[in-house]
Amino acid sequence: MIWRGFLLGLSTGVFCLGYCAPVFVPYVLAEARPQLGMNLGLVGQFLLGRLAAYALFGLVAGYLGVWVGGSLPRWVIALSLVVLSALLILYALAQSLPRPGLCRFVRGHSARMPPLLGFLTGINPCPPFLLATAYVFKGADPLGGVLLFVAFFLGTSLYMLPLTFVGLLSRYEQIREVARLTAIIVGGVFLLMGIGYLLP
Amino acid sequence: MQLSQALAKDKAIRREMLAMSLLSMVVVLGISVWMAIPWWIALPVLVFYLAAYPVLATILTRTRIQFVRRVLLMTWGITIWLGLCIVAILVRGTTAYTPEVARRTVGTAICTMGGLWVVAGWIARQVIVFDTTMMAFWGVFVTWLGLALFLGRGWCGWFCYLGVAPGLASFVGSLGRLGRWRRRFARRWLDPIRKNELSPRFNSLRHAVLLSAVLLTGWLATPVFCYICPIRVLFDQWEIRYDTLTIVTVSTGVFLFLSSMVVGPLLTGKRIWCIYLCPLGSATSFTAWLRAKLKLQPTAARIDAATCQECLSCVRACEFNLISPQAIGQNVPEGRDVIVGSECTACADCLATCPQDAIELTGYGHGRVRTLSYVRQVAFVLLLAFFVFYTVFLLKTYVPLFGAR
Repeated sequence: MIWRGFLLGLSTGVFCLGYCAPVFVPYVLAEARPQLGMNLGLVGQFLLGRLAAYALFGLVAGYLGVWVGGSLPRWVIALSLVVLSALLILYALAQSLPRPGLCRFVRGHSARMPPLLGFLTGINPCPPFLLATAYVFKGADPLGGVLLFVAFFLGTSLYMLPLTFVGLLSRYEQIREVARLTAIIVGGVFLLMGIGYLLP
Repeated sequence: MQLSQALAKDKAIRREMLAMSLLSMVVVLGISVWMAIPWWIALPVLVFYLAAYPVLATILTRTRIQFVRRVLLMTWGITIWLGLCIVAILVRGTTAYTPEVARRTVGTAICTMGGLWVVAGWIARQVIVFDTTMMAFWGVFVTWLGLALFLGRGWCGWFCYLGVAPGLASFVGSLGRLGRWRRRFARRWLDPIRKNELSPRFNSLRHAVLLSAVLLTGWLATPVFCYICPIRVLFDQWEIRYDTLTIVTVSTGVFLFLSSMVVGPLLTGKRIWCIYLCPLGSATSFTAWLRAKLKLQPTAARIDAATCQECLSCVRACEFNLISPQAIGQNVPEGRDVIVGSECTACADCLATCPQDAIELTGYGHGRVRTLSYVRQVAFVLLLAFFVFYTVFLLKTYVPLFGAR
């Protein structure tokens, strides 16, 4: 089970990178973090959030043993997209249009932001994620589900590590500005999509 | 620059163009004989190269090149647009690109921006996100990349057919009564001290548009930007359906077209689309930045501080909003760049406008094109473009893997 999850993660990790990049790249570039260690920490927190999401999902999927299907996943995706978009837009606005209230709010929650972003992107079902879920359903074993998803997480995480080096570009003011605007645009698209999912 | 020196350089340019013309023809002939290319294919290419370099020499040795540039760009853009429309009507029966058309048409012509989304989708998801052929993709994308790498943002000033609509609107807005309205608008709504300079606050927006479109293309495995692309008003029109997605995307595309390609340039004389929104312009800026880092920058506007009267005509004239009035106001030391070097589109509008003849572009002279290095690059680019198309044609015609029968 563990090997299967790890190999699945390794073989489909690029997809996961494609899914996480729109959220994480603008976030990691929007604020000046010139040291590699700082970026590594940020990526680590983001990955921890993903791990929590995967483990939780593995537990639930393994326990149920059948696809939860129907309206619940749609609601979950929609809500996660809306919350993700709100976080991204708020963060970008606090960086580019400093207002005391907004800054205080974002600073107060900034430590929780990377794991939260990781968790929210983690529960968005991308194709590899659905594939891993299908494996877990076959087994119908909660512990096996958690183990498979943890191994799957480890396999995919290798592809996330280059994001650490992307963060080094945040030393340039123009790139930070681009990242903030990107966060607002991406957030806007997520918001529209989330609302679209919520509508009947 | 002394007149004698200038004339000597003109002669050198003509000699160099003639040499390039002959060299290209020898290369084409050699390839044609070696690959046994049919004469009816080789002959038009030979005629093209026989004519192209002398025409180029004539353009580059003119005193004022901005009018020729404008005419060339408009002709080129309108020809491409009409050509694509005619081909679309012949192949699909319509210029629209609806899901139904996509289903019954295998492969489609691709715009230069579409090449960016194909690359992004391939890197992120290993899927071809645009229904196109390899020939169309390589022909368009590699030609853009070659031109952008050699000319930097000269691509935007001289070749980009996507900028024809805002360029035309900006030009029309300067004529007669429209010109008077524009001046009144500028006095009323734009900063009178900056003399019609738009705010540089959102100059990074087009880079953000590119980054967002690339990331979202990777995320959704579909060319996201194409849904709202304003160019689609002119070509590859949307299917009009009454669902939320269509209403949002089509109205956004039409709004972007009207605001950034028609009304904005008409009112301000600036290419709003190219300055703030164009993802291709952003990608071209990146290639221009690469050029600058490699010390290959062909053009950069410089001001002669002793001659400059700070009338700011150049600020008004620059359609790409690249000249900073602050830099001029601060009495720029002689030789310092007024335009951020790698961003200059080499349109030479500022040279033509300056009443004191105080601006020069490196790679140009005072009001005249005088450089051999720039000429060499343009000539080389034409050669490169030819090779790209030629190679693609050969692959398509003779190699079964690429569709040859």
